Amino acid sequence: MASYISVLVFLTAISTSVAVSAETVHIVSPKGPFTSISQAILSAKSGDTIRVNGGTYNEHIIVDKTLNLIGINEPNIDGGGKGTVVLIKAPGVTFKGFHVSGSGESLTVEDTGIVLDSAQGSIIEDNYLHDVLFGIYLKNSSGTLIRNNTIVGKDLPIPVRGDGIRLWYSSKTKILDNTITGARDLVMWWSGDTLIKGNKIEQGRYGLHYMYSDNNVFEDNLFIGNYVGGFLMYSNNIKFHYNIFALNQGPATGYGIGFKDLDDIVASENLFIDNRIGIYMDNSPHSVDSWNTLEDNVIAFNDIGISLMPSIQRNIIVSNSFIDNVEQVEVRGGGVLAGNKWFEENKGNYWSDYRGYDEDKDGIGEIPYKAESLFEGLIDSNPVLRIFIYSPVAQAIELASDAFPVMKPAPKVTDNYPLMSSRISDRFDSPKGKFSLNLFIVSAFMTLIPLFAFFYIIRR
Amino acid sequence: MDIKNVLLIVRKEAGESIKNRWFLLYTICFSLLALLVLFLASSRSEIAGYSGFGKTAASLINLVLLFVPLIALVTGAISISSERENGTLSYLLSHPITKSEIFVGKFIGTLIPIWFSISLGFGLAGVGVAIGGGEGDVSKYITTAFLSALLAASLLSIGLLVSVYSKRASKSIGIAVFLWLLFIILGDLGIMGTTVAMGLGIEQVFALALLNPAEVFKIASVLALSPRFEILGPVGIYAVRTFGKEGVFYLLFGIMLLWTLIPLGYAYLAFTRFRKEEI
Repeated sequence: MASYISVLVFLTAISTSVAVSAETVHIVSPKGPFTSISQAILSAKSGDTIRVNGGTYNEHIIVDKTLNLIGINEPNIDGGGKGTVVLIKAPGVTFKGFHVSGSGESLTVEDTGIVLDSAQGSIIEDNYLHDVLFGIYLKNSSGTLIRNNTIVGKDLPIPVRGDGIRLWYSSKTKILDNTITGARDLVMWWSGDTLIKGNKIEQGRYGLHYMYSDNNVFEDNLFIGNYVGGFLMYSNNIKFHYNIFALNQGPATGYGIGFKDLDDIVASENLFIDNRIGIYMDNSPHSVDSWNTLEDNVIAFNDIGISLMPSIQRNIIVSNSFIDNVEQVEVRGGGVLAGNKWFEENKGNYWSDYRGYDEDKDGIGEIPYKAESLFEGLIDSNPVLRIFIYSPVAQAIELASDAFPVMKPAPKVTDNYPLMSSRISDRFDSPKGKFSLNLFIVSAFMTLIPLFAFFYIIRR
Repeated sequence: MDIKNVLLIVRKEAGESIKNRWFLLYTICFSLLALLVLFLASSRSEIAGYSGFGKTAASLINLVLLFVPLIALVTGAISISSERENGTLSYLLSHPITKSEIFVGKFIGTLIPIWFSISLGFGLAGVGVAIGGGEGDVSKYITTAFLSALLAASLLSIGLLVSVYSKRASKSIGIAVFLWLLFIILGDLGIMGTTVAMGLGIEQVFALALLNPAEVFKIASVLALSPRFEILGPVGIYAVRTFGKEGVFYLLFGIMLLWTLIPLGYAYLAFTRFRKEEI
């Protein structure tokens, strides 16, 4: 049996090398032999390579054979503002090193830079797409690799933009090291087992958005300045690590990440910073036998650190650092969070507003952290009152409820083992702030003028 | 109105204010607290190059809200009533100087030292933040300082109005302290209580909040300092949707200006129309 397999492998190797040696290379350049990529595709056989030299090619391309299209010196394929620019309809196509621009602007027919339709196992690499409605659109193209592409959306209002990358029934796809700017979403439908790593997604609607896509992993991505960093729905077994969700502050949403009906999430060492709401959870986990785990994340400087519906249960939220969020935990509509674990095995979370002490120096506070602010309770149940945030009245109310504990609401969250110091991963290095000369000069004037005036008046 | 006479009163008032030990104590306290608060707040305000706004802003706004109205109200409240009580006001009026000159001189002469103390507080804190490497957006900082100055002016006018109608300094100080409590805590508490009890709508809460100069200052400062207005909740979103972000800012600015001009004008009219025996 083993020898049979080895013979088979040997034969396969030979046949592959034969195929490689038989492959033809077609050259496209403005001076020929081919002056258009479409002509070259027409005369190429499956398995051939087409090299496209620098220059502008005003055409719409349909790749219906398994070809390697390699751009040399950044050839630009321009659709002239009409339709889809590149349509790949064969499996195993490599499309590398091109500039693609000038798709149409129709959302109904989904004008796109590069469409892969039933192009399983293709490679889309090192391309620069700009002035396109949709960027890269995968339909029934599982096992595709999308690496190191830059996608710049059309300068349109968000509701009429297309998606930077869209996956439709395309599982086992790898989306690595891409940059998407000013598009709508990176969105996935029914596309499981996907790896999304090292991408930067900015100025869009939902940085990452998906539905019905299980077993996905996303790591080392940067979601910055979108309406919502990530919004994941109706999926199971999601793992994500080392991502940064920053400055996602869309009106009425502004989540770093939001979960809707998600089961078995494992989130660790992510950074949620300066969003409107760091983490938003709606009905997650969804199944009764599922638990979500959030650990070692840093949730800092958000208006609301983590916002949960009161019915949310079965989340393990341990070893995270909640730093200077205006409100650390919100229970939407007020109430108490029961059935979630805020500590486990003598370990809780770090809370920057914790006022306890650590007597035995084991890094864990001796008295529990309780999120039981009366003012926060009031604004959770009466969001209108949020207008009084930062007013002295907010402190006055806290003071009153400290003096008369009978006024204290039931704690939203009780952490019996609060950590005494925050845990910020070394990945997120913290450069020291720069010395601000402008501020220094202005402030120095603001200090010196009254001082001189005071002395002048007193001496007289 | 003779500018020379006005300047004379300004100089007299400003000199008295600055030599007043309470005023000096207040100025030093405010400056040191501002420095301390901003230094502490900016000491840990960066993670991965992102800086937090919340703590610094909250500290700054709270500090201004607690200190500036108190000193402005009390300074205004005693400025005329104490002179009336001492009899120095009658003495002053026996000179060739009109009542309107005295009033204008007193307003400017008490306002300038308060503005100086605000400037000193913000300046020292700004130097501290700049050296400590904290957030360095100068325009936001100046806007907040400017709004604080306006807050001081409006509460000083309210204090002057109290002063014009008070025979004794102790009474006017009492009223001033009560007004401070009203503007800083009781007013907001009243709106909050009413909202919880009666379920006031967004528009009503916004309208009620606009009646309070301290609350108007706070909303304006948050809008000026914060990159986003959603932090103020549905009311903030409503306000910005209705008036636009700049529109809200001008609206708030206008209200603060009205809170300065109306009490001031009223106090001026009342003071200049008093008959001699009422002084």
